[in-house]
Amino acid sequence: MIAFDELWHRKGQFALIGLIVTLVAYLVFMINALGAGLLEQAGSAVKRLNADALVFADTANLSLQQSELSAQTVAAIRSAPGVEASSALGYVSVQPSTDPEKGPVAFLGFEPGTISEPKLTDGRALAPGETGAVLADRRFLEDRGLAVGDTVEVTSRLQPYTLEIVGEVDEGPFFFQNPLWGAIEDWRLLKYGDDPQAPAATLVMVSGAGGLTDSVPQHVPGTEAATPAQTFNSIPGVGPQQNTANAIQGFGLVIGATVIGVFFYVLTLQKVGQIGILKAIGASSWFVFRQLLVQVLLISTIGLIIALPLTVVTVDLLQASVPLLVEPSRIVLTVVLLLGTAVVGVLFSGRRIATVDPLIALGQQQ
Amino acid sequence: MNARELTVDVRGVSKIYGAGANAVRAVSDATFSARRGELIALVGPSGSGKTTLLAMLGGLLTPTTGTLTVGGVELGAVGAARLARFRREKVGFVFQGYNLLPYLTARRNLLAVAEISGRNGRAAAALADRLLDEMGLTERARAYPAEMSGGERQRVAIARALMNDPALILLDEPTANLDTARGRQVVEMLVAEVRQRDKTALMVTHDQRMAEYAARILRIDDGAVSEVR
Repeated sequence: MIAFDELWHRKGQFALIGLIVTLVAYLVFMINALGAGLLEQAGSAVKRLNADALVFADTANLSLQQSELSAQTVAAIRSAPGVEASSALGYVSVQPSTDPEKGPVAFLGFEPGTISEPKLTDGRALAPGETGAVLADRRFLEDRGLAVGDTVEVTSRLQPYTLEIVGEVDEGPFFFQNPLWGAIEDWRLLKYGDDPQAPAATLVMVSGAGGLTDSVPQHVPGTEAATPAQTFNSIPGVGPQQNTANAIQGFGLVIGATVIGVFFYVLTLQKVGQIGILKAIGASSWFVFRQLLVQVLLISTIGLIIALPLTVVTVDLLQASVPLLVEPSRIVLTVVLLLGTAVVGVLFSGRRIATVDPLIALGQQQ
Repeated sequence: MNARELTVDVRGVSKIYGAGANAVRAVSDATFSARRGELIALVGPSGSGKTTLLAMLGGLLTPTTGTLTVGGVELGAVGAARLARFRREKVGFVFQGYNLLPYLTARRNLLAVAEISGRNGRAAAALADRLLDEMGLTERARAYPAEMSGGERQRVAIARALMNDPALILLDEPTANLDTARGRQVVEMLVAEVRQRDKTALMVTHDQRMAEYAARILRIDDGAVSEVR
């Protein structure tokens, strides 16, 4: 294809634009990883909860911090029509005594052996009703330099509690905190002490037939329900945060498209004579434009191929201090957007190509 | 197909540049025709309208008045896209300034013609190699235009014009940069190509010795075409 010959002939110029495309792609990928990382921090464990609906107290407005359900309400939710499986879940923020400067962590009280059971990646699972033991999130262990078999001391309500880490899970952060998954009984103790009147759960996970998000609140007064994804999206700050990341990414794409567009437009103006020759020997405008498209797509693809591992390496290096995550589906979308904007960038050159008169071939010496 | 078939039919063709008092009549009421298998020399002083006539026959310019039919296509009556297709399929043009693509080697300049027509592959490669061989350019197949002499570029331009197996070959001073021996060789090759493959060729030349190879000679003076021989 003559597009490749031309590319090779002008390799210096094309290498420069390739470098710029690489840097733009790198920037957009990094912003993307930051957006995905922030989203992950916000509470990917919430999104991954294996339930059709999460049932909250209706005064809580889907807030994990505000919601409290009594034992009677929990029992009513479990026996609501359509509910086939359920699990109480309790959330409390606790302060580990190792590395307190790293902030509090989430303690999630769940019921082992039910739908709330997180997927074990190391160690052993909790037995139903087993207290004093937790499954720690991978990030928590990395962050604090702990391992399965260690113990962790946490403070809640001015009381220290010692918990044994028996297993590792990888469900991700919960509400910007790395969680410890333990017995719902331990959660109640950490949050309320041994008060027999204390609430029995923060929320109840339910799964089963029909639209449980609608039917459960109808049957159980004082509750409201949402899917895990809806709950995740209502976490304060998630929306604006993602809008910011998307806006920066959008700017990156626009700048990239403009740079590519201007480069190829200048190149097109420089070679009007050669375009005239091609047309004089019978090439259609579409044929000439196709060469340009192939060049743009090739340069952009090479830029993306270089930028992608660069992003992965950078994310790996910075992950400890910056919330970054390479999420394949978002990367694929970004790749499509970058290629699309590159093509849009050269459409102006296409208009110029269409107006070149093949007659100019007569008056020139090449 | 009839070997004596008319390929070029020019009737009352004029080309006028500009308008009103500034109008310049580059070609004036030209009428002639050409058949398959004919090599026609077009002679005349500088500025007499030779290149304008060639450009019209090659579908690069449309006539102001008159009808101009080449290979069954009436060139004044079709749009830009159809003209591009006409140039791609029917015409081989050897420009005075060679007009090779600087980023392509000699061989790739030839293959570009096949690529434009969507005819890639072995047949095109074989034809390119044969034409380069006939032009004595086999050794220079991988040279870029910037690395070639004027004569070499001229011969690549001629080989390129034959790549699409055109019905009509238009040559603007094809021997201007060749020494006499090489010039004769190129024109003899052209004559053979025209006769053997039933093509029509129109060659603008200043060189009386080259014109002698032509079956007919047309003379153009101030835009008016007359048959000399």
